[in-house]
Amino acid sequence: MKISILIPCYNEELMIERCVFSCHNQTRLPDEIIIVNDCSTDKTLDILKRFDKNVRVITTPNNMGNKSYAQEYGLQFVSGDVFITTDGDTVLDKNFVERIEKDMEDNSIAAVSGYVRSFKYNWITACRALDYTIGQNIDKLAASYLNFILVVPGAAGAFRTSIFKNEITFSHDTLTEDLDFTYTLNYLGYKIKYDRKAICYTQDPFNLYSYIHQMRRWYGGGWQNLIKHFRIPDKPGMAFELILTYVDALIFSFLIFLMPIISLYITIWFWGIYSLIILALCFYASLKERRLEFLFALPCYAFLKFINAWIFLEQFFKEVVFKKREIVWYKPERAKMNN
Amino acid sequence: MIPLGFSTIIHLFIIIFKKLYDFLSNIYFAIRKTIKKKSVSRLLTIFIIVLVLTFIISNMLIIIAFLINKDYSNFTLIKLFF
Repeated sequence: MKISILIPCYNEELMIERCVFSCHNQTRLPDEIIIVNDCSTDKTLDILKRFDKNVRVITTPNNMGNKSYAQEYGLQFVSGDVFITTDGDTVLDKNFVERIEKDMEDNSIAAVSGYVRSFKYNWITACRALDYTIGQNIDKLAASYLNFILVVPGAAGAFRTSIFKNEITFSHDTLTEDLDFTYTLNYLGYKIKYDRKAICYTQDPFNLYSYIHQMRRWYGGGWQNLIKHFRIPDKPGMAFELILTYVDALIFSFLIFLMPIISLYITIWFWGIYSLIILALCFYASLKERRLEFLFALPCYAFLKFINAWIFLEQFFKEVVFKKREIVWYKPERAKMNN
Repeated sequence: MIPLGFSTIIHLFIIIFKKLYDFLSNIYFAIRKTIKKKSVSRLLTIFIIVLVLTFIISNMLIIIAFLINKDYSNFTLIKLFF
């Protein structure tokens, strides 16, 4: 089986070297590494020139301003049977390619969703890491038991090239292209595997400004894709998961802001119960990832939940109620991660 | 998507049910496999396992029922079971 790695990047001078090193430092080496340089204005291209012929660097004719355009451009150069998608700020675990190869040996599998971990940096990245741990070890795992994977993350995903090229068209009309691809595969009835041992480490926003922009993109993209692919699913597991994910989040977000107006007594009870649940989840995540700071993240985590709820509602009104579709890609600030 | 709300709790229950289902089906297949071998000692082992499981589950149900009703007048019943 020939395996390719496709990495779209734009101004990734701080992390691209580590990303490529991680691709080379695999227990099963990839057959080709394709990096799509979306006309970076920093030293990304100079860094990439240092690598040998194993790394194929392709520069787009002009800056495309959106990751999915760069991915589409790079896909035409992919010759592998399977291709792994990752980002320029992401580091692959040393057995990532090996895991993907093992998963893809089953011909019925069209895509594999890996496991994303966040680099340690500050309290925002700690809360994001907490979200990843809970989301991937409980929510995504349960969804996989129901034979439904909502998203194959762009940072840690793999697709069978023939299926991807034949079935998926790049429409560039949503903010989250990975969600768009996964919806398409799900509705076409393809099998997606969730492998928690195919791990990658990614960089998350480390300041509130970047965090808010990323959440706007994720939740906005979530609503855009839900509208775009909206139809009654054939699979009951998929229908259950979609309803649970979106309706629950919507009710929760409304409740957070409406409850203090209705009754202060109920609000206190609500937050008391919710804090206990979060505390239990923090405890679980702390044990799972062996990160003690998760236990002290409760106040920050609750604060970020407020922000998430606000953005979720904001994007719901923008995309669903007022139908103001916005496809503007925001690139968060980067930092050099050493852990 | 970053989870928001109480869906995590429902997902947690799905995971617990799945693990319980796998556990029980493993026991079921182990029993089927053993019965085919017609080994008396293994049948006895399975009988003991089933007995212990029934004991644990019935105790748990009684405790849950007591906790829900908050009626501790028949508390001796629990003592009897333990």
